[in-house]
Amino acid sequence: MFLGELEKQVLQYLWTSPGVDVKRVHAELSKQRDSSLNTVQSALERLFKKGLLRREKQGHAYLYFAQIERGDLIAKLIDSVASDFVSKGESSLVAAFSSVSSEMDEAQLDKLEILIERQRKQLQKGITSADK
Amino acid sequence: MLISDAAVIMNLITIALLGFLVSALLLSVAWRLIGKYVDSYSIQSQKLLILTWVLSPWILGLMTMLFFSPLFENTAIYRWVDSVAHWHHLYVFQLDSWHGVTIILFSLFSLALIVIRGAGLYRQGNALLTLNHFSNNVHGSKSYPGVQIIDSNIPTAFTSGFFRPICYVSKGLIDNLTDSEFNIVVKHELAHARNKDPLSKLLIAFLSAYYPRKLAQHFNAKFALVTEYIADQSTATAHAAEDVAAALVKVARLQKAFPQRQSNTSRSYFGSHDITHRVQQLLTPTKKSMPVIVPIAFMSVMLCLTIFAVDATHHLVESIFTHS
Repeated sequence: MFLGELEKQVLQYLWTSPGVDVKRVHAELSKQRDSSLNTVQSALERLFKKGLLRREKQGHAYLYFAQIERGDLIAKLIDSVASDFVSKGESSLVAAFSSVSSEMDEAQLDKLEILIERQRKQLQKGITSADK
Repeated sequence: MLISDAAVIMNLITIALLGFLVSALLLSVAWRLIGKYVDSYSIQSQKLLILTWVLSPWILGLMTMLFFSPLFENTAIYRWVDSVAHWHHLYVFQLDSWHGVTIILFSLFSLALIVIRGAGLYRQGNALLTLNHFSNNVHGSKSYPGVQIIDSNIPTAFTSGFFRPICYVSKGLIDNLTDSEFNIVVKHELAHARNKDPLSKLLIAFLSAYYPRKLAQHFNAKFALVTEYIADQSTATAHAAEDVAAALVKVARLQKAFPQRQSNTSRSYFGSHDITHRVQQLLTPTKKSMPVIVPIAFMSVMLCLTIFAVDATHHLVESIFTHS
């Protein structure tokens, strides 16, 4: 998923003010940046095509709503940062660590915890016997 | 058909490529034989070995080319090499021969590799920029210089960026950790940033792509694990190794408890990577170090084998395909 600067600002605005038309979006964004109504319109169009917005027709204009929650978008971004680390097809690194974490079960984690505790106790013993 | 200077250059490139391919093949076989013993050596030795393996085809290819080149024509070593292995048509090069095809295929493969990886990196860069954009105004209860807090309930921590790496930790992780555990996670990620691990992983991914796919994946996974060991180790200087290990297990538990998303990619370099190995390495570090002379001696043997093999391959192929 690729997002341009203006698209990010549009999304950010629509999360706080859902159900607005292009004029409102343009009026709000022109406080921060200098972009024409047409530019804002095409940014809305792009976001709509990417499935990130939905729209409802009211009179002659469309009202826009964010289709994706902020938290979900961030989760998607986190995923794509991790999976693009090595490009797809050769996604060796990602394959390696995701398979390990999904194979890892509670019992294995319990075992590791016991191992750590045992070592801690041994060290403690070592320290107290050295003190004596 | 090319004759003289241009032909020499093209022939030398072919020799370098043949040397490259032959040594990659020899090194693949060698790793199959000795790869399983690598784990018993210290982390630094493991890192050195992986680097040696992925860099060697390039170095051996270039050295083979030098040995065959007319640059050292008057030296004793050239005469010795010439007596056992030689390129019988250094001054004549035919583009539409298997030599030309080798060069073209290699160039196309490299170009495709750069384009595919470049596109992936571009997408990733944009995802990071967007992540920064939506995380800029987050003020968590804990903060740490050099660490970007992500406004998400997914428990995650990772380091990304090639030249100026940035560490990211999510609120979802921070809220579930004690101060000391948070400190361990951050120290671990900052160690990745300091070591420029994303960049070195990228280089290893690029260099290993010329090996058979399974081996390449093995090298990448192994190198990734070594970078984790090193980051764990530098965290364990300020904290007890047992505390680092316990934090690792805790993060793994948090991530397991979080509902899996469809894409099923892992969310943390800290926590999800070969946890068992990392805990064992923290509790009982492998200390046996490999003398530097071993890889050097090994590579010298490889060089001799490559030189002979290049000559042999050349004669073998040319007895099947003739140039004209």
